[in-house]
Amino acid sequence: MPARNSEMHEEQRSQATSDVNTTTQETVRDSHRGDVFIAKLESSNLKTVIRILKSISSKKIAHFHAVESGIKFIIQEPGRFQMTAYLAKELFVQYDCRKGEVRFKVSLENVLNSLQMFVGIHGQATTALFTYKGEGHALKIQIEESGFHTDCEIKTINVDELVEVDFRHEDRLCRVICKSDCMRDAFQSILFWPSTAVTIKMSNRAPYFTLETVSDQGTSAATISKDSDYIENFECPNDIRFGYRQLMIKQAQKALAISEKTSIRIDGRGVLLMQFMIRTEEEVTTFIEFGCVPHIDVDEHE
Amino acid sequence: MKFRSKISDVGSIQHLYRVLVTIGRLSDGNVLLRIAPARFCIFSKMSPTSGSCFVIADIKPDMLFDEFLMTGYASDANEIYLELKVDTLIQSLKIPSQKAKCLKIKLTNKAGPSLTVEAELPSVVAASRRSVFDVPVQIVHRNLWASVTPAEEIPSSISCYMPPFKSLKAVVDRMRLTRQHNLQLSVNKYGELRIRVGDNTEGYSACTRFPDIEFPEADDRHEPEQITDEEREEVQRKGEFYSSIVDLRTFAAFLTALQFPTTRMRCDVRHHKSLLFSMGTSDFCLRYFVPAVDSGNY
Repeated sequence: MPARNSEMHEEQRSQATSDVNTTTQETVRDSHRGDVFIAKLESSNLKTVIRILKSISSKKIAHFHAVESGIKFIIQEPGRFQMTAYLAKELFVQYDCRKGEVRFKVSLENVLNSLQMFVGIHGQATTALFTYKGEGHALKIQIEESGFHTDCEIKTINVDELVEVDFRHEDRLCRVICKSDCMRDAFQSILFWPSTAVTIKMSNRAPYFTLETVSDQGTSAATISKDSDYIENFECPNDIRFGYRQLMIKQAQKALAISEKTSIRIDGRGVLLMQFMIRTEEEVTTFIEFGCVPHIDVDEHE
Repeated sequence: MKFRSKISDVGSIQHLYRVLVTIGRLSDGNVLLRIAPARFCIFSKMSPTSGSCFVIADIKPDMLFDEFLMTGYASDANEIYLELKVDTLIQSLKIPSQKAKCLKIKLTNKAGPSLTVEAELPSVVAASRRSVFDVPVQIVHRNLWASVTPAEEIPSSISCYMPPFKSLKAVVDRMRLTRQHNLQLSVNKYGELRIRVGDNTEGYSACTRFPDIEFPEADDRHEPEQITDEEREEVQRKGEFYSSIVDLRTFAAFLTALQFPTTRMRCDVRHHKSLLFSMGTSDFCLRYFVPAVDSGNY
Protein backbone atom coordinates (compact mmCIF):
# COMPACT_ATOMS: atom_id res chain seq x y z
CA MET A 1 0.00 0.00 0.00
CA PRO A 2 1.51 3.34 -0.93
CA ALA A 3 2.98 5.45 1.81
CA ARG A 4 0.76 8.39 0.91
CA ASN A 5 -2.30 6.79 2.41
CA SER A 6 -0.89 7.15 5.83
CA GLU A 7 -0.71 10.88 5.34
CA MET A 8 -4.27 11.29 6.50
CA HIS A 9 -4.91 10.18 10.06
CA GLU A 10 -1.71 8.54 10.88
CA GLU A 11 -2.86 8.10 14.44
CA GLN A 12 -5.79 5.86 13.65
CA ARG A 13 -3.69 3.70 11.43
CA SER A 14 -1.10 3.15 14.10
CA GLN A 15 -3.81 2.31 16.60
CA ALA A 16 -5.25 -0.29 14.29
CA THR A 17 -4.75 -3.74 15.65
CA SER A 18 -2.60 -6.14 13.73
CA ASP A 19 -2.80 -9.08 16.09
CA VAL A 20 -3.04 -11.89 13.62
CA ASN A 21 -3.16 -15.14 15.46
CA THR A 22 -0.04 -17.00 14.46
CA THR A 23 -1.21 -20.43 15.52
CA THR A 24 -4.39 -20.34 13.49
CA GLN A 25 -2.41 -19.02 10.60
CA GLU A 26 -0.17 -22.07 10.73
CA THR A 27 -3.12 -24.44 10.56
CA VAL A 28 -4.43 -22.56 7.57
CA ARG A 29 -1.01 -22.74 6.00
CA ASP A 30 -1.10 -26.52 6.20
CA SER A 31 -4.48 -26.90 4.55
CA HIS A 32 -3.65 -24.38 1.83
CA ARG A 33 -0.15 -25.44 0.93
CA GLY A 34 -0.55 -24.73 -2.78
CA ASP A 35 -2.04 -21.29 -2.37
CA VAL A 36 0.02 -18.17 -2.89
CA PHE A 37 -2.61 -15.96 -1.35
CA ILE A 38 -4.95 -16.52 1.61
CA ALA A 39 -7.18 -13.98 3.31
CA LYS A 40 -10.02 -14.58 5.71
CA LEU A 41 -12.73 -12.13 6.63
CA GLU A 42 -15.23 -12.30 9.44
CA SER A 43 -18.73 -11.05 10.03
CA SER A 44 -18.64 -7.31 10.69
CA ASN A 45 -15.61 -6.64 8.54
CA LEU A 46 -17.16 -8.67 5.75
CA LYS A 47 -20.09 -6.27 5.75
CA THR A 48 -17.69 -3.32 5.56
CA VAL A 49 -15.81 -4.92 2.67
CA ILE A 50 -19.07 -5.52 0.80
CA ARG A 51 -20.01 -1.88 1.38
CA ILE A 52 -16.64 -0.68 0.11
CA LEU A 53 -16.67 -2.89 -2.98
CA LYS A 54 -20.26 -1.93 -3.79
CA SER A 55 -19.27 1.72 -3.71
CA ILE A 56 -16.68 1.25 -6.46
CA SER A 57 -18.57 -1.32 -8.52
CA SER A 58 -19.55 0.93 -11.40
CA LYS A 59 -17.50 -1.27 -13.70
CA LYS A 60 -17.62 -5.03 -14.05
CA ILE A 61 -13.94 -5.83 -14.14
CA ALA A 62 -11.56 -4.85 -11.37
CA HIS A 63 -7.83 -5.23 -10.92
CA PHE A 64 -7.00 -7.26 -7.86
CA HIS A 65 -3.65 -6.36 -6.42
CA ALA A 66 -2.55 -7.93 -3.16
CA VAL A 67 0.63 -7.03 -1.33
CA GLU A 68 1.78 -7.76 2.19
CA SER A 69 -0.07 -4.82 3.71
CA GLY A 70 -3.45 -5.51 2.14
CA ILE A 71 -5.52 -5.81 -1.02
CA LYS A 72 -6.28 -3.14 -3.59
CA PHE A 73 -9.31 -3.42 -5.85
CA ILE A 74 -8.87 -0.99 -8.72
CA ILE A 75 -11.44 -0.08 -11.33
CA GLN A 76 -10.50 2.34 -14.02
CA GLU A 77 -11.16 3.87 -17.33
CA PRO A 78 -7.55 4.15 -18.50
CA GLY A 79 -6.38 7.72 -18.84
CA ARG A 80 -9.59 9.17 -17.40
CA PHE A 81 -10.35 8.05 -13.89
CA GLN A 82 -9.52 5.35 -11.41
CA MET A 83 -11.01 4.18 -8.16
CA THR A 84 -9.06 2.13 -5.68
CA ALA A 85 -10.44 0.40 -2.64
CA TYR A 86 -7.79 -0.42 -0.07
CA LEU A 87 -8.60 -3.35 2.15
CA ALA A 88 -6.00 -3.16 4.88
CA LYS A 89 -4.51 -6.35 6.27
CA GLU A 90 -6.03 -5.43 9.65
CA LEU A 91 -9.52 -6.08 8.28
CA PHE A 92 -8.72 -9.76 7.89
CA VAL A 93 -8.44 -12.33 10.65
CA GLN A 94 -5.91 -14.21 8.55
CA TYR A 95 -3.83 -12.70 5.83
CA ASP A 96 -0.96 -14.25 3.96
CA CYS A 97 0.46 -13.03 0.68
CA ARG A 98 3.34 -15.41 0.07
CA LYS A 99 4.75 -14.20 -3.22
CA GLY A 100 5.00 -10.62 -1.99
CA GLU A 101 2.63 -9.52 -4.71
CA VAL A 102 -0.38 -11.01 -6.49
CA ARG A 103 -2.17 -9.26 -9.32
CA PHE A 104 -4.86 -10.19 -11.79
CA LYS A 105 -8.12 -8.95 -13.24
CA VAL A 106 -11.37 -10.37 -11.93
CA SER A 107 -15.10 -9.77 -12.30
CA LEU A 108 -15.99 -7.51 -9.39
CA GLU A 109 -19.66 -8.24 -10.01
CA ASN A 110 -19.11 -11.92 -9.32
CA VAL A 111 -16.88 -11.24 -6.32
CA LEU A 112 -19.73 -9.22 -4.84
CA ASN A 113 -22.33 -11.83 -5.74
CA SER A 114 -20.22 -14.46 -4.01
CA LEU A 115 -19.64 -12.38 -0.88
CA GLN A 116 -23.33 -11.63 -0.62
CA MET A 117 -24.43 -15.22 -1.14
CA PHE A 118 -25.93 -15.45 2.33
CA VAL A 119 -27.06 -11.87 2.70
CA GLY A 120 -30.65 -11.76 3.85
CA ILE A 121 -30.41 -14.90 5.95
CA HIS A 122 -30.51 -14.42 9.68
CA GLY A 123 -27.76 -16.41 11.20
CA GLN A 124 -24.53 -16.43 13.07
CA ALA A 125 -21.19 -15.18 11.92
CA THR A 126 -20.39 -15.28 8.26
CA THR A 127 -16.83 -15.87 7.17
CA ALA A 128 -15.27 -15.46 3.76
CA LEU A 129 -12.00 -17.08 2.79
CA PHE A 130 -10.16 -15.91 -0.33
CA THR A 131 -7.57 -18.23 -1.82
CA TYR A 132 -5.55 -18.09 -5.02
CA LYS A 133 -3.16 -20.71 -6.33
CA GLY A 134 -1.31 -18.59 -8.84
CA GLU A 135 -1.37 -17.65 -12.49
CA GLY A 136 -4.01 -19.38 -14.53
CA HIS A 137 -6.03 -20.43 -11.51
CA ALA A 138 -9.38 -19.12 -10.38
CA LEU A 139 -9.90 -16.90 -7.35
CA LYS A 140 -11.68 -19.06 -4.81
CA ILE A 141 -14.02 -17.60 -2.26
CA GLN A 142 -15.46 -19.83 0.43
CA ILE A 143 -18.37 -18.41 2.35
CA GLU A 144 -19.75 -19.99 5.47
CA GLU A 145 -22.81 -19.15 7.47
CA SER A 146 -24.62 -21.19 10.13
CA GLY A 147 -23.26 -24.45 8.79
CA PHE A 148 -23.96 -23.70 5.14
CA HIS A 149 -20.98 -23.44 2.83
CA THR A 150 -20.62 -21.91 -0.59
CA ASP A 151 -17.54 -22.39 -2.73
CA CYS A 152 -17.20 -19.91 -5.55
CA GLU A 153 -14.61 -19.92 -8.28
CA ILE A 154 -14.11 -16.81 -10.33
CA LYS A 155 -11.99 -16.80 -13.46
CA THR A 156 -8.98 -14.51 -13.32
CA ILE A 157 -7.21 -12.74 -16.16
CA ASN A 158 -3.46 -12.22 -15.90
CA VAL A 159 -2.13 -8.69 -16.00
CA ASP A 160 1.45 -7.50 -16.02
CA GLU A 161 1.33 -3.80 -15.42
CA LEU A 162 -1.37 -1.36 -14.60
CA VAL A 163 -1.25 2.21 -15.86
CA GLU A 164 -2.47 4.27 -12.95
CA VAL A 165 -3.66 7.85 -12.81
CA ASP A 166 -0.46 9.69 -11.96
CA PHE A 167 -0.81 12.22 -9.18
CA ARG A 168 2.33 14.27 -8.59
CA HIS A 169 2.58 14.77 -4.86
CA GLU A 170 5.60 17.08 -5.13
CA ASP A 171 3.58 19.35 -7.42
CA ARG A 172 0.52 19.58 -5.17
CA LEU A 173 -1.42 22.84 -5.45
CA CYS A 174 -3.91 22.38 -2.68
CA ARG A 175 -5.18 20.08 0.02
CA VAL A 176 -8.49 20.00 1.88
CA ILE A 177 -9.37 17.56 4.64
CA CYS A 178 -12.92 17.69 5.87
CA LYS A 179 -15.73 15.65 7.35
CA SER A 180 -17.55 13.86 4.57
CA ASP A 181 -20.99 15.21 5.53
CA CYS A 182 -20.38 18.66 4.11
CA MET A 183 -18.75 17.33 0.95
CA ARG A 184 -21.63 14.89 0.48
CA ASP A 185 -24.18 17.72 0.59
CA ALA A 186 -22.09 19.91 -1.69
CA PHE A 187 -21.70 17.13 -4.28
CA GLN A 188 -25.34 16.14 -4.07
CA SER A 189 -26.56 19.67 -4.70
CA ILE A 190 -24.44 20.18 -7.79
CA LEU A 191 -24.64 16.68 -9.28
CA PHE A 192 -28.42 16.78 -9.21
CA TRP A 193 -28.56 18.65 -12.53
CA PRO A 194 -27.29 16.84 -15.60
CA SER A 195 -24.41 18.67 -17.24
CA THR A 196 -21.06 17.86 -18.78
CA ALA A 197 -18.59 19.37 -16.38
CA VAL A 198 -18.00 20.20 -12.75
CA THR A 199 -15.62 23.02 -11.92
CA ILE A 200 -13.62 23.05 -8.72
CA LYS A 201 -12.36 26.48 -7.64
CA MET A 202 -10.12 27.06 -4.67
CA SER A 203 -8.37 30.11 -3.33
CA ASN A 204 -7.00 31.53 -0.09
CA ARG A 205 -9.75 34.16 -0.05
CA ALA A 206 -13.50 33.75 0.53
CA PRO A 207 -15.36 31.71 -0.65
CA TYR A 208 -12.30 29.41 -0.45
CA PHE A 209 -13.81 26.22 -1.92
CA THR A 210 -16.40 26.24 -4.71
CA LEU A 211 -17.99 23.44 -6.73
CA GLU A 212 -19.85 24.65 -9.81
CA THR A 213 -21.84 23.18 -12.68
CA VAL A 214 -23.51 24.79 -15.64
CA SER A 215 -26.51 22.91 -16.96
CA ASP A 216 -29.50 23.68 -19.18
CA GLN A 217 -31.45 24.64 -16.10
CA GLY A 218 -28.91 27.18 -14.94
CA THR A 219 -25.77 27.45 -12.89
CA SER A 220 -25.46 25.69 -9.61
CA ALA A 221 -22.69 26.28 -7.10
CA ALA A 222 -21.81 25.03 -3.61
CA THR A 223 -19.24 26.80 -1.50
CA ILE A 224 -17.49 25.78 1.69
CA SER A 225 -15.57 28.25 3.81
CA LYS A 226 -12.24 27.25 5.30
CA ASP A 227 -13.55 28.39 8.71
CA SER A 228 -16.36 25.86 8.60
CA ASP A 229 -16.47 23.37 11.48
CA TYR A 230 -16.38 20.59 8.94
CA ILE A 231 -13.01 21.59 7.52
CA GLU A 232 -10.01 20.15 9.34
CA ASN A 233 -7.27 21.33 7.09
CA PHE A 234 -7.22 23.78 4.21
CA GLU A 235 -4.10 24.56 2.22
CA CYS A 236 -4.30 26.51 -1.00
CA PRO A 237 -1.79 29.32 -1.43
CA ASN A 238 -2.86 30.28 -4.98
CA ASP A 239 -6.14 30.53 -6.87
CA ILE A 240 -6.87 27.41 -8.86
CA ARG A 241 -9.68 26.37 -11.16
CA PHE A 242 -10.10 23.01 -12.89
CA GLY A 243 -12.96 21.30 -14.70
CA TYR A 244 -13.83 17.61 -14.53
CA ARG A 245 -16.40 15.52 -16.37
CA GLN A 246 -19.53 15.21 -14.30
CA LEU A 247 -19.96 11.54 -15.22
CA MET A 248 -16.60 10.75 -13.69
CA ILE A 249 -17.15 12.80 -10.56
CA LYS A 250 -20.42 10.91 -10.08
CA GLN A 251 -18.45 7.67 -9.73
CA ALA A 252 -17.05 8.99 -6.47
CA GLN A 253 -20.44 9.72 -4.94
CA LYS A 254 -21.11 6.27 -3.52
CA ALA A 255 -17.71 6.11 -1.87
CA LEU A 256 -18.24 9.60 -0.47
CA ALA A 257 -21.58 8.50 0.96
CA ILE A 258 -20.10 5.75 3.11
CA SER A 259 -17.01 7.62 4.24
CA GLU A 260 -16.26 9.54 7.40
CA LYS A 261 -13.62 11.97 6.20
CA THR A 262 -12.60 13.20 2.79
CA SER A 263 -9.34 14.59 1.52
CA ILE A 264 -9.17 16.47 -1.78
CA ARG A 265 -5.90 17.25 -3.54
CA ILE A 266 -5.13 18.67 -6.96
CA ASP A 267 -1.71 18.71 -8.61
CA GLY A 268 -0.17 21.15 -11.06
CA ARG A 269 -1.68 19.44 -14.10
CA GLY A 270 -5.14 19.44 -12.57
CA VAL A 271 -5.20 15.76 -11.62
CA LEU A 272 -7.75 15.40 -8.84
CA LEU A 273 -7.17 12.94 -6.03
CA MET A 274 -9.88 12.32 -3.48
CA GLN A 275 -9.45 9.97 -0.54
CA PHE A 276 -12.35 8.74 1.49
CA MET A 277 -11.70 7.36 4.93
CA ILE A 278 -13.93 4.57 6.17
CA ARG A 279 -13.86 3.32 9.72
CA THR A 280 -15.17 -0.15 10.52
CA GLU A 281 -17.06 -1.21 13.63
CA GLU A 282 -13.78 -2.53 14.98
CA GLU A 283 -12.08 0.85 14.54
CA VAL A 284 -9.95 -0.21 11.59
CA THR A 285 -9.56 2.60 9.09
CA THR A 286 -9.43 1.94 5.42
CA PHE A 287 -9.57 4.05 2.28
CA ILE A 288 -11.13 4.46 -1.09
CA GLU A 289 -9.13 6.62 -3.47
CA PHE A 290 -10.50 8.35 -6.51
CA GLY A 291 -8.22 9.83 -9.12
CA CYS A 292 -9.46 11.76 -12.12
CA VAL A 293 -7.86 13.77 -14.91
CA PRO A 294 -9.22 17.24 -15.76
CA HIS A 295 -11.78 17.52 -18.54
CA ILE A 296 -10.87 20.97 -19.76
CA ASP A 297 -8.31 23.29 -18.36
CA VAL A 298 -10.75 26.12 -17.75
CA ASP A 299 -8.08 28.77 -17.33
CA GLU A 300 -6.61 28.13 -20.77
CA HIS A 301 -9.97 28.62 -22.48
CA GLU A 302 -10.75 31.92 -20.87
CA MET B 1 -73.08 -32.71 -14.54
CA LYS B 2 -73.61 -30.58 -11.50
CA PHE B 3 -71.29 -28.74 -9.18
CA ARG B 4 -72.13 -26.48 -6.29
CA SER B 5 -69.93 -25.39 -3.40
CA LYS B 6 -69.91 -22.90 -0.62
CA ILE B 7 -67.17 -21.39 1.55
CA SER B 8 -68.19 -19.29 4.53
CA ASP B 9 -64.82 -18.85 6.17
CA VAL B 10 -62.66 -15.84 5.27
CA GLY B 11 -59.44 -17.79 5.87
CA SER B 12 -60.47 -20.50 3.42
CA ILE B 13 -61.43 -17.96 0.76
CA GLN B 14 -58.00 -16.34 1.13
CA HIS B 15 -56.30 -19.72 0.95
CA LEU B 16 -58.07 -20.58 -2.29
CA TYR B 17 -57.10 -17.18 -3.68
CA ARG B 18 -53.44 -17.64 -2.78
CA VAL B 19 -53.35 -21.12 -4.29
CA LEU B 20 -54.82 -19.77 -7.53
CA VAL B 21 -52.35 -16.87 -7.64
CA THR B 22 -49.45 -19.29 -7.16
CA ILE B 23 -50.76 -21.49 -9.95
CA GLY B 24 -51.28 -18.44 -12.15
CA ARG B 25 -47.62 -17.52 -11.73
CA LEU B 26 -46.34 -21.03 -12.33
CA SER B 27 -48.44 -21.83 -15.39
CA ASP B 28 -48.95 -20.08 -18.70
CA GLY B 29 -52.51 -19.12 -17.75
CA ASN B 30 -54.50 -22.11 -18.98
CA VAL B 31 -55.41 -24.44 -16.17
CA LEU B 32 -57.61 -27.43 -15.68
CA LEU B 33 -59.94 -27.97 -12.79
CA ARG B 34 -60.65 -31.53 -11.80
CA ILE B 35 -63.63 -32.00 -9.54
CA ALA B 36 -64.24 -35.41 -8.00
CA PRO B 37 -66.29 -36.38 -4.92
CA ALA B 38 -63.24 -36.27 -2.66
CA ARG B 39 -60.83 -34.18 -4.73
CA PHE B 40 -60.59 -30.63 -5.88
CA CYS B 41 -57.60 -30.39 -8.11
CA ILE B 42 -56.15 -27.48 -10.10
CA PHE B 43 -53.28 -28.07 -12.49
CA SER B 44 -51.57 -26.39 -15.40
CA LYS B 45 -52.46 -27.43 -18.90
CA MET B 46 -49.59 -29.04 -20.76
CA SER B 47 -48.59 -26.81 -23.62
CA PRO B 48 -45.58 -26.51 -25.89
CA THR B 49 -44.65 -23.19 -24.25
CA SER B 50 -44.60 -24.43 -20.68
CA GLY B 51 -41.34 -26.33 -21.17
CA SER B 52 -42.99 -29.42 -19.67
CA CYS B 53 -42.99 -27.89 -16.19
CA PHE B 54 -46.24 -28.41 -14.43
CA VAL B 55 -47.89 -27.37 -11.24
CA ILE B 56 -50.64 -29.23 -9.47
CA ALA B 57 -52.60 -28.26 -6.36
CA ASP B 58 -54.63 -30.93 -4.66
CA ILE B 59 -57.18 -29.85 -2.09
CA LYS B 60 -59.40 -32.04 0.06
CA PRO B 61 -62.86 -30.49 -0.42
CA ASP B 62 -63.78 -31.03 3.25
CA MET B 63 -60.98 -28.76 4.34
CA LEU B 64 -61.89 -25.86 2.10
CA PHE B 65 -65.60 -26.04 1.43
CA ASP B 66 -68.47 -25.99 3.84
CA GLU B 67 -70.73 -27.41 1.20
CA PHE B 68 -69.52 -29.49 -1.75
CA LEU B 69 -71.99 -31.20 -4.03
CA MET B 70 -71.19 -32.67 -7.39
CA THR B 71 -72.47 -35.10 -9.95
CA GLY B 72 -69.94 -36.22 -12.49
CA TYR B 73 -69.81 -36.78 -16.22
CA ALA B 74 -71.35 -40.22 -16.01
CA SER B 75 -72.18 -42.68 -13.31
CA ASP B 76 -69.06 -44.73 -14.09
CA ALA B 77 -66.89 -41.63 -14.32
CA ASN B 78 -67.98 -39.43 -11.50
CA GLU B 79 -65.69 -36.50 -12.22
CA ILE B 80 -65.75 -33.14 -13.97
CA TYR B 81 -62.84 -31.67 -15.92
CA LEU B 82 -63.00 -27.99 -16.77
CA GLU B 83 -60.55 -25.86 -18.69
CA LEU B 84 -60.35 -22.18 -17.87
CA LYS B 85 -58.16 -19.09 -17.83
CA VAL B 86 -56.83 -18.88 -14.30
CA ASP B 87 -56.47 -15.09 -14.46
CA THR B 88 -60.23 -14.69 -14.90
CA LEU B 89 -60.88 -16.81 -11.86
CA ILE B 90 -58.25 -14.90 -9.85
CA GLN B 91 -59.89 -11.63 -10.89
CA SER B 92 -63.29 -12.82 -9.76
CA LEU B 93 -61.88 -13.74 -6.34
CA LYS B 94 -59.77 -10.64 -5.80
CA ILE B 95 -62.32 -8.55 -3.91
CA PRO B 96 -64.12 -11.51 -2.24
CA SER B 97 -60.76 -12.72 -0.87
CA GLN B 98 -60.42 -9.49 1.08
CA LYS B 99 -63.82 -9.15 2.66
CA ALA B 100 -66.44 -11.65 1.52
CA LYS B 101 -68.51 -13.27 4.25
CA CYS B 102 -69.55 -16.13 2.05
CA LEU B 103 -68.52 -17.44 -1.36
CA LYS B 104 -70.44 -19.80 -3.64
CA ILE B 105 -68.88 -21.42 -6.67
CA LYS B 106 -71.13 -23.37 -9.02
CA LEU B 107 -71.18 -24.73 -12.52
CA THR B 108 -73.86 -23.00 -14.58
CA ASN B 109 -74.88 -22.84 -18.19
CA LYS B 110 -75.48 -19.22 -19.11
CA ALA B 111 -74.05 -18.11 -22.45
CA GLY B 112 -72.12 -21.35 -22.48
CA PRO B 113 -70.71 -23.31 -19.58
CA SER B 114 -69.43 -21.08 -16.78
CA LEU B 115 -68.22 -21.22 -13.23
CA THR B 116 -70.34 -18.74 -11.36
CA VAL B 117 -68.60 -17.13 -8.42
CA GLU B 118 -71.10 -15.53 -6.13
CA ALA B 119 -69.82 -13.51 -3.20
CA GLU B 120 -71.66 -11.96 -0.32
CA LEU B 121 -69.92 -8.75 0.61
CA PRO B 122 -70.49 -6.57 3.64
CA SER B 123 -72.14 -3.24 3.01
CA VAL B 124 -72.44 0.03 4.89
CA VAL B 125 -76.21 -0.30 4.94
CA ALA B 126 -77.83 -3.14 6.80
CA ALA B 127 -78.41 -5.41 3.79
CA SER B 128 -75.35 -7.14 2.39
CA ARG B 129 -74.21 -6.83 -1.19
CA ARG B 130 -73.91 -9.64 -3.67
CA SER B 131 -71.43 -9.80 -6.54
CA VAL B 132 -71.63 -12.40 -9.27
CA PHE B 133 -68.88 -13.31 -11.73
CA ASP B 134 -69.26 -15.76 -14.56
CA VAL B 135 -65.98 -17.34 -15.55
CA PRO B 136 -66.28 -19.03 -18.94
CA VAL B 137 -65.07 -22.63 -18.92
CA GLN B 138 -64.74 -25.47 -21.38
CA ILE B 139 -65.86 -28.92 -20.45
CA VAL B 140 -63.17 -31.47 -21.22
CA HIS B 141 -64.51 -34.61 -22.84
CA ARG B 142 -64.04 -37.84 -20.98
CA ASN B 143 -61.86 -39.29 -23.73
CA LEU B 144 -59.26 -36.58 -23.13
CA TRP B 145 -59.05 -36.94 -19.37
CA ALA B 146 -56.12 -39.30 -19.37
CA SER B 147 -54.10 -37.18 -21.78
CA VAL B 148 -54.47 -33.93 -19.82
CA THR B 149 -53.85 -35.31 -16.34
CA PRO B 150 -50.23 -35.20 -15.18
CA ALA B 151 -48.78 -38.43 -13.86
CA GLU B 152 -49.71 -39.10 -10.24
CA GLU B 153 -46.54 -40.98 -9.43
CA ILE B 154 -43.18 -39.94 -10.75
CA PRO B 155 -40.34 -42.32 -9.99
CA SER B 156 -37.46 -40.78 -8.08
CA SER B 157 -33.88 -41.70 -7.33
CA ILE B 158 -33.88 -40.04 -3.93
CA SER B 159 -36.27 -37.93 -1.86
CA CYS B 160 -35.33 -35.36 0.74
CA TYR B 161 -36.58 -32.25 2.46
CA MET B 162 -35.21 -28.99 1.17
CA PRO B 163 -33.17 -26.67 3.45
CA PRO B 164 -34.98 -23.83 5.24
CA PHE B 165 -36.97 -21.94 2.64
CA LYS B 166 -35.56 -18.52 3.47
CA SER B 167 -31.95 -19.66 3.13
CA LEU B 168 -32.69 -21.53 -0.06
CA LYS B 169 -34.44 -18.58 -1.66
CA ALA B 170 -31.72 -16.13 -0.66
CA VAL B 171 -29.03 -18.35 -2.16
CA VAL B 172 -30.93 -19.06 -5.37
CA ASP B 173 -31.82 -15.40 -5.85
CA ARG B 174 -28.18 -14.45 -5.44
CA MET B 175 -27.13 -17.15 -7.91
CA ARG B 176 -29.63 -15.81 -10.42
CA LEU B 177 -27.77 -12.49 -10.37
CA THR B 178 -24.62 -14.20 -11.62
CA ARG B 179 -26.25 -14.54 -15.06
CA GLN B 180 -25.76 -18.26 -15.27
CA HIS B 181 -28.40 -20.30 -17.05
CA ASN B 182 -28.54 -23.61 -15.27
CA LEU B 183 -28.69 -24.79 -11.72
CA GLN B 184 -27.64 -28.21 -10.57
CA LEU B 185 -29.31 -29.70 -7.53
CA SER B 186 -27.61 -32.77 -6.08
CA VAL B 187 -28.40 -34.88 -3.05
CA ASN B 188 -26.50 -37.79 -1.58
CA LYS B 189 -27.81 -40.34 0.82
CA TYR B 190 -25.72 -38.99 3.66
CA GLY B 191 -27.81 -35.88 3.88
CA GLU B 192 -25.85 -33.38 1.86
CA LEU B 193 -27.62 -31.20 -0.64
CA ARG B 194 -25.68 -29.11 -3.11
CA ILE B 195 -26.83 -26.30 -5.31
CA ARG B 196 -24.44 -25.31 -8.01
CA VAL B 197 -24.36 -22.79 -10.82
CA GLY B 198 -21.79 -22.41 -13.56
CA ASP B 199 -18.80 -24.60 -14.24
CA ASN B 200 -15.12 -24.07 -14.82
CA THR B 201 -15.55 -23.25 -18.49
CA GLU B 202 -17.95 -20.40 -17.83
CA GLY B 203 -15.59 -18.32 -15.73
CA TYR B 204 -17.74 -18.44 -12.65
CA SER B 205 -19.07 -21.19 -10.48
CA ALA B 206 -20.69 -21.24 -7.09
CA CYS B 207 -21.64 -24.30 -5.12
CA THR B 208 -23.59 -24.08 -1.88
CA ARG B 209 -23.59 -27.09 0.41
CA PHE B 210 -26.37 -27.69 2.87
CA PRO B 211 -25.33 -30.45 5.25
CA ASP B 212 -27.65 -32.54 7.40
CA ILE B 213 -30.83 -32.26 5.43
CA GLU B 214 -33.66 -34.54 6.44
CA PHE B 215 -35.24 -37.43 4.62
CA PRO B 216 -38.89 -38.48 4.60
CA GLU B 217 -39.37 -41.15 7.23
CA ALA B 218 -40.96 -43.71 4.98
CA ASP B 219 -38.05 -43.55 2.59
CA ASP B 220 -36.07 -46.78 2.85
CA ARG B 221 -33.28 -45.39 0.72
CA HIS B 222 -32.15 -43.26 3.62
CA GLU B 223 -29.45 -44.89 5.66
CA PRO B 224 -29.19 -43.17 9.03
CA GLU B 225 -25.75 -44.58 9.73
CA GLN B 226 -23.08 -42.32 11.17
CA ILE B 227 -20.08 -41.80 8.95
CA THR B 228 -16.71 -40.23 9.49
CA ASP B 229 -15.39 -37.32 7.48
CA GLU B 230 -13.06 -39.59 5.50
CA GLU B 231 -15.94 -41.83 4.50
CA ARG B 232 -17.99 -38.83 3.55
CA GLU B 233 -15.19 -37.59 1.31
CA GLU B 234 -14.95 -41.04 -0.22
CA VAL B 235 -18.64 -41.03 -1.06
CA GLN B 236 -18.40 -37.57 -2.53
CA ARG B 237 -15.37 -38.46 -4.61
CA LYS B 238 -17.15 -41.46 -6.00
CA GLY B 239 -19.88 -39.07 -7.03
CA GLU B 240 -22.76 -40.82 -5.37
CA PHE B 241 -24.84 -37.77 -5.81
CA TYR B 242 -28.22 -37.89 -7.43
CA SER B 243 -28.57 -34.73 -9.40
CA SER B 244 -30.54 -32.88 -12.03
CA ILE B 245 -29.75 -29.72 -13.90
CA VAL B 246 -32.68 -27.37 -14.31
CA ASP B 247 -33.20 -23.92 -15.71
CA LEU B 248 -32.07 -21.43 -13.06
CA ARG B 249 -34.68 -18.81 -13.90
CA THR B 250 -37.51 -21.33 -13.77
CA PHE B 251 -36.39 -22.53 -10.37
CA ALA B 252 -35.94 -19.01 -8.99
CA ALA B 253 -39.38 -18.04 -10.35
CA PHE B 254 -40.90 -21.05 -8.61
CA LEU B 255 -39.49 -19.99 -5.24
CA THR B 256 -40.71 -16.44 -5.78
CA ALA B 257 -44.18 -17.54 -6.86
CA LEU B 258 -45.05 -19.37 -3.65
CA GLN B 259 -47.74 -17.34 -1.95
CA PHE B 260 -48.11 -19.16 1.34
CA PRO B 261 -45.75 -19.88 4.23
CA THR B 262 -43.77 -22.95 3.35
CA THR B 263 -42.58 -24.89 6.31
CA ARG B 264 -41.28 -28.01 4.70
CA MET B 265 -40.67 -28.64 1.05
CA ARG B 266 -39.98 -32.10 -0.22
CA CYS B 267 -37.84 -32.69 -3.25
CA ASP B 268 -37.83 -35.85 -5.34
CA VAL B 269 -34.78 -36.07 -7.53
CA ARG B 270 -34.92 -38.32 -10.53
CA HIS B 271 -31.29 -38.65 -11.52
CA HIS B 272 -30.55 -36.60 -14.67
CA LYS B 273 -34.26 -36.49 -15.48
CA SER B 274 -36.33 -34.23 -13.27
CA LEU B 275 -37.04 -32.56 -9.95
CA LEU B 276 -40.39 -32.67 -8.21
CA PHE B 277 -41.12 -30.33 -5.33
CA SER B 278 -44.06 -30.91 -3.08
CA MET B 279 -45.32 -29.11 -0.03
CA GLY B 280 -48.43 -28.82 2.03
CA THR B 281 -50.41 -30.62 4.65
CA SER B 282 -52.52 -33.74 4.62
CA ASP B 283 -55.49 -31.71 3.36
CA PHE B 284 -53.64 -29.65 0.80
CA CYS B 285 -50.72 -30.41 -1.44
CA LEU B 286 -48.92 -28.36 -4.06
CA ARG B 287 -46.51 -30.04 -6.40
CA TYR B 288 -44.23 -28.52 -9.00
CA PHE B 289 -42.43 -30.59 -11.60
CA VAL B 290 -39.31 -29.32 -13.38
CA PRO B 291 -37.69 -31.44 -16.09
CA ALA B 292 -33.89 -31.53 -16.33
CA VAL B 293 -32.41 -29.52 -19.16
CA ASP B 294 -29.30 -31.56 -19.62
CA SER B 295 -28.19 -35.10 -18.98
CA GLY B 296 -25.60 -33.60 -16.66
CA ASN B 297 -22.02 -33.37 -17.75
CA TYR B 298 -21.05 -31.31 -14.75
